[in-house]
Amino acid sequence: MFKILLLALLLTTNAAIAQDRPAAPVSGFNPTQSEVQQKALLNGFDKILGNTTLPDSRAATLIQPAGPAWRDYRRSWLPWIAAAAVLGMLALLLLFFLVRGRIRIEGGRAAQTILRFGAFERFMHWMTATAWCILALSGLNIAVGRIVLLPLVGSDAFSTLSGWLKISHNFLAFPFTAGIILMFLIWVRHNIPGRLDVEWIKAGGGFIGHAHPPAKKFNAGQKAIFWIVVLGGGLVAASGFTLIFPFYFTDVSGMQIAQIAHGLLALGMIAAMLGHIYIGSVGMEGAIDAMASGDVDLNWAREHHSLWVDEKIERTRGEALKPAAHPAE
Amino acid sequence: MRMFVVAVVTMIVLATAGSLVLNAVQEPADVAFTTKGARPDLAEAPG
Amino acid sequence: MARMKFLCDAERCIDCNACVTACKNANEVPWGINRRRVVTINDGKPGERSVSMACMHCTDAPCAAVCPVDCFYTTADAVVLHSKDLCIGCGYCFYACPFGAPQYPKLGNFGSRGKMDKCTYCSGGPEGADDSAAEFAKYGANRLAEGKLPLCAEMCSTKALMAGDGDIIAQIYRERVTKRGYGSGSWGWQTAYKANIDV
Repeated sequence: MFKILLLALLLTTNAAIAQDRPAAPVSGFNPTQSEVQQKALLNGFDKILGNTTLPDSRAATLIQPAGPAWRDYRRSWLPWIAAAAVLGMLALLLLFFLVRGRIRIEGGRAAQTILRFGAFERFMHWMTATAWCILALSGLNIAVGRIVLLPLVGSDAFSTLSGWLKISHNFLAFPFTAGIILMFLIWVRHNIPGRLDVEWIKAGGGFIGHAHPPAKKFNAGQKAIFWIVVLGGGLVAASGFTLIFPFYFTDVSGMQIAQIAHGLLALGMIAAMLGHIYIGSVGMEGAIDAMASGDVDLNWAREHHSLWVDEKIERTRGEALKPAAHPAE
Repeated sequence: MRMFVVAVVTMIVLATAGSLVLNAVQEPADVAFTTKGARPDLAEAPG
Repeated sequence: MARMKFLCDAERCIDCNACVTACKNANEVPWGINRRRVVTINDGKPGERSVSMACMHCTDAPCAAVCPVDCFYTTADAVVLHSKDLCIGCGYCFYACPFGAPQYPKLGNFGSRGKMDKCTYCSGGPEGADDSAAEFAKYGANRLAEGKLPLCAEMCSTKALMAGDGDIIAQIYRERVTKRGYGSGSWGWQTAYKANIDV
């Protein structure tokens, strides 16, 4: 009991001494006044920077508390955004298919086809498209694979797969970017929005209702896809290169922002491309020919790109026309 | 279809070229974050 | 079980870098990678402080939350470990870490940057194979299994760097601050554990 009392007395005396500490010690330097308060440092900057003797200059960053915010985004928000983009879009497309059905060539197949996309156009389309598909799948794997795939295949198999997907994601960025640049250069002159596009949208574009508003090589819907691919893809590529070259362009907090932008833009693109893939295959009779053989059914072309057909026939003096490989049904 | 195959082949070639270039640029940490003075030259070390 | 934490008393740290050296030696950390480092704030100015920093083994660790392959483990002692067999070297933990702890054998994010390396709180790998040569080669020493604390803190000459149960080292720090009348706070604790030490 006596010992405890003595201890208590000692502690209070110590505290009293601490409080009675003179404002300026003998050295003339008051440590309390010049105390480095990390809170003040953190409020002033997004990170605490110092000096270090290590050759790695990045090691001089002591604390950068932006990390936890990114953690919360990635864990709590990203899976839902990804689900909304992918599953939501698939649900919408299914609904559209059930309501509208396959968009048929109303005049039936013609006896002739017309060259819509030349070999180089098809080449750059498929290079970008193939790279994009693998990039999208590997990106989704990084984003939500841990939730979706990992429980199914186990951690060893998932790690091996993710390792390969990561490598393909990193390096397919190059053909993808090259494809985006090529598509921009080759197709931009056909994709300047104009008066025709307003009318096309007003008429429902042939999606809603059965009108076939006139259109040149690309209608307003295709122009939208073009700009989504060029601008969205360009920004996704730019943000991706920021991440693939860490510290070349920005620091860690900058890369967190780049990662968020990269993911969100890519998810938006995935949603848009699902629509593009749908309408280019199941959703519309005759559309796949444009990118498969390059020769589309003449009736299909007249329904969807009336102005382009006239101009094309006139310009090539009918040479773009070919007899259909399969006779008209 | 032929253009599709050409596209896939080009894609793989571009990706591989990119990987080769970048792996050549990539610096190991033991080269980037050490100074010459800190590294004993193993060739000259008494064997 | 204890809740293991690191605490660097910046009033005591003299920037001798012995913790860095001890860590490298105890764990045979490869060239160019430093699991622990000393950073000096306000170097050469009034209020200069040095802080020894490594992985803080955060509560609800950001690295573990963002890892795409879920390769992180939190042990019963609340030490955050990762499996080098599962790590794909993507760099996400490194983007998320507030303390710059994750490091890679190769710079840049291209292809093979290699398996991430970080402080293990001197408790080896997550596979539980205590004290095997394979574990040491991959993760370094497993001092915790021998009943010892991380070497950086154990050998700190001024006892600035403390390791051990969070409550106990916080109490030691509290007594120091009360006794000497000042302290610059528990560096990184707010970020890592969402709690400062109230004195």
